[in-house]
Amino acid sequence: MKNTKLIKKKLFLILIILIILVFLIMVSFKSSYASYETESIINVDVNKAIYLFEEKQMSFNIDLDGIIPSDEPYIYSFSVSNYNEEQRSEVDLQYQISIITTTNLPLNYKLYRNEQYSLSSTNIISASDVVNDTDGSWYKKLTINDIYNMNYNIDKTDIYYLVVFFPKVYSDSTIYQGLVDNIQINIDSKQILE
Amino acid sequence: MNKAIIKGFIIIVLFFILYLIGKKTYSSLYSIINGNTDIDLADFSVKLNGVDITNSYDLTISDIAFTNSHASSNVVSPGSIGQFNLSLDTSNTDVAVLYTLSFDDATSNNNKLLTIKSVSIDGLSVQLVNNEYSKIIPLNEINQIKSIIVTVEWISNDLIDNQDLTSKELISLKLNVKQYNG
Repeated sequence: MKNTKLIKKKLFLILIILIILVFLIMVSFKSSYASYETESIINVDVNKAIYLFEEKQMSFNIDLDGIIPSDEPYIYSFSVSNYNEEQRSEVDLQYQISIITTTNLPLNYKLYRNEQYSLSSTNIISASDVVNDTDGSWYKKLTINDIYNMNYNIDKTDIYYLVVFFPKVYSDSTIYQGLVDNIQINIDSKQILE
Repeated sequence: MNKAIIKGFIIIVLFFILYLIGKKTYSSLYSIINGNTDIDLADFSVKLNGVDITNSYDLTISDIAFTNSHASSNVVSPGSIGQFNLSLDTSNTDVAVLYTLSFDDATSNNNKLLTIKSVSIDGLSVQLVNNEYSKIIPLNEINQIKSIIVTVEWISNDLIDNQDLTSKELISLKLNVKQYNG
């Protein structure tokens, strides 16, 4: 019994000595390794440029309820801009147009940029190819080789006139009854880097 | 056992009292020995771009002119290259210091848009290691203001450029300055 008490007392003494030692070590450590130090974060914050390219009226459905074979072409317009009501693109940009149509109707196409259709105006379609899709369907691909630029320092709108010809020779044909052709205009735009 | 606890407690309390008395006594003797001599602590003062950052301070730099012939000059866009200057002033410091610049840019963080193109200090180009640069300012140079020029670039990347950029940050860096203990 006495031995147990003695052991407890010794353990308690050791504990007190340890507490004092830890305290001394902490005080010693603090004074030995105190040094000046500062750390700051620097953030760079500059407004990112607005990239703005507005497209209007980019897809058309042409059906025979809307057009009939005629000597006069049908004209559809669409436009692209580098600005809207609120802001303008802050980077120069360039774009290229391509047109894909279905081939249900015997239609021919011409495209004019910033000029109305006339005999003297310039058709910008470079090539027209009928292509077989991977799923077996046929479509017509109209290629426009030219790439157009829009500068960031000026409001710019390009208006396009898509002229669709449905020759009158088909006026007696009934095989196109109920058919619809879809025209999809794709515009690939990107910032000019170089 | 209770008595032992009380004894132990008394010993600890006495120890702390002795420590405090000893500390105070030592201070008094110290001041008597030195008379009214005023021994200053070594000064440690760091300014960055004129702003005192001795006790840490976060800075925002927004007056950077970016060069991009295809973009407005007051904005940054893919392809832009810009520079900003940092002046590190330790002239009111009495100790040698070690400073470390750590850059958090697009090469290490997907949420950043700009990449470090080059860093020069006092006109000399320096090499970053893991986007970090450390240098000692010895005591004999402590009064010289360090001129740090950081050139950054927005490298065009289709994967980034096609994302919504509003939530992305441009670049940030951390400056750590500490006493150099050898």
